[in-house]
Amino acid sequence: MVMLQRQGLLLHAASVVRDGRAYVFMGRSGAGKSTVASLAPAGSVLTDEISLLRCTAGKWQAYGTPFWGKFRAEGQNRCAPLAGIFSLVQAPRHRLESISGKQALAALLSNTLFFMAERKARENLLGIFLELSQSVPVWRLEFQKNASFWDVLP
Amino acid sequence: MKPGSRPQQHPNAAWRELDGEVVVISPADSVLHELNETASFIWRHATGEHTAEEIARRMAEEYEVDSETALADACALVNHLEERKLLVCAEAKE
Repeated sequence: MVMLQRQGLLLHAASVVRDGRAYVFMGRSGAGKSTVASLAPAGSVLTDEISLLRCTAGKWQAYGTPFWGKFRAEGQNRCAPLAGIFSLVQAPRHRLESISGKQALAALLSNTLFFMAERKARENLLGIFLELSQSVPVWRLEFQKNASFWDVLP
Repeated sequence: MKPGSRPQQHPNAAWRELDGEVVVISPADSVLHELNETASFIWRHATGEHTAEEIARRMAEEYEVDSETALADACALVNHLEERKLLVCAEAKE
């Protein structure tokens, strides 16, 4: 699988660039990816549906992909270094919570597009998750449908 | 599962150690399972070579618990991991 050989993965996630860094918001359908994208300034959204994360020269970067969800704005064909990965939960308030390494792995796995059943490919994937979660902070983000959730981000 | 059964990691279960404990992606549903310290101990010894009884004996030494408690815990954990299709057990020979 090409993405695995290149140390990368596809995530169910919206990616928004702010101050030159990519904030990646992951979650399944209904978690709020399109909402986050719709609350971001024009031109700052790489994707509202599927993000490509790749490690290039020791740095994790987020890329836009041609896959779009409800937001349907024009995708930005560029990349940015990762600021953080946020597991989205819609809630009556904004709250950022750090999660354990194991919780980060579980959240990444449940949001990864992955169709390989072979043990070796899955072990490679676990290795990629470990490397990613040790290089980039992974958080749980409870948020309301308004743009002020950016205030609680690191 | 009998104490003489030999538990073995499912051949398609992918796993890693994180902070001294094991995480496994189950081959059945691709969910990540986090094993606690004792379950991780059993996992490392579930090579198909050792019986549950032998693993329990090692657990008793490692954690300084009596052999009956270790055997009961080991059997319960092996059953739990087998139900989740993370372990397979070769039955004891009669």
